[in-house]
Amino acid sequence: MDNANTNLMRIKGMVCRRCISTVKDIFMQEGFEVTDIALGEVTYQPQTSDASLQKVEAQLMEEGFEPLGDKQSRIIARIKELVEQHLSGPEHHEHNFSQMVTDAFPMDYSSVSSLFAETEGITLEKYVIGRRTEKAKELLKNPKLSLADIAFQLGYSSVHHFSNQFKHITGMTPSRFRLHQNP
Amino acid sequence: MKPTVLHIKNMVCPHCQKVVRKELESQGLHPLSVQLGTVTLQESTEELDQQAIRNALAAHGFELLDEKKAVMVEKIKNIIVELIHHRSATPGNFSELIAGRLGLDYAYVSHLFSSAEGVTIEKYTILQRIERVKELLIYDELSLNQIADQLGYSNVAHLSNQFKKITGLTPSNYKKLKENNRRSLDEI
Repeated sequence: MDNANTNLMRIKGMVCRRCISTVKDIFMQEGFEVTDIALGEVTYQPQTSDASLQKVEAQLMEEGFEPLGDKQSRIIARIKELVEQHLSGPEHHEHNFSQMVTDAFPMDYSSVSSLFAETEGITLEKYVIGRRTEKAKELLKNPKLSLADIAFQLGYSSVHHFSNQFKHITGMTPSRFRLHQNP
Repeated sequence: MKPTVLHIKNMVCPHCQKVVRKELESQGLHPLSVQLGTVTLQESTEELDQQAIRNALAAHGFELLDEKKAVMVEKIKNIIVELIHHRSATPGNFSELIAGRLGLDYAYVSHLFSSAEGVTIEKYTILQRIERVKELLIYDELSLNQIADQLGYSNVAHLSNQFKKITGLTPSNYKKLKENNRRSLDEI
């Protein structure tokens, strides 16, 4: 068999022979030729369009299976989700961010953050500050929100801390930024 | 009209349930409930073509059970598979749970199981647990600590020792293996 011409998909949730036939059917219905299949792995002939593969993935999910990405990209994606969750409102601030990360992963915070830094080329702390500043910019466009509201919503301990950090990143204070946005 | 209860061997996951339901429906039957190992049909026993059902199920590796002892053994296996493979937290000790669910004395259940299967419930449970560990190791999402915790091992050392005894490899060596040697749960 020509290995160069086949793709491997790793799949979560396959435990028996029926799972194998269910997964095989899903691939074949979308016109894929399955060259090898075992618990947790399918080897198939790739097609030129991505659309049918997406259909296969959607079908798998619907059946309760889960295509597995590589570990690193899964972790990074999850960290980014956590960041967005953390910045999405004051109800998420009772736990600090590092606690959220520690709860979500089997490794300690320093391994998670160094993995992030290695793959993304920016430290996790800087990434969070960057996302927080972007969020602040969005919120500043809404003239109804006071600086105190925004600082609170983004989990800053004080307006002062918020202003300082904002200025440090963008070069201008939040009020200046607001003036620029809504002259 | 009295509903019929069918006992089916080799069902281990939700997909098995789906396949069984589909096969029965394509026979024009009406399953009222489909559980691991047990199906209740709306139809009465007299209306059923046992042989047709048998054949349809056999195509997927299932077996219709009628002998009382075999039914009991399958029930025990269903409980064990459910506790290990379909729960987010598996208890450490099964004997009371199994006896409780079956409403029978554990000594009796355990004797029945070993005499029919040639392997003790404890040994069977270990094999199922190890198979689950293999699966979780391959997913590479949880630490060994978390896996031990989830599967009811008192500590990682216990898991590692048991794993090595069964597979010949330590969990971390198993993870590095390139070949896939997982087993279908109904073949354990």
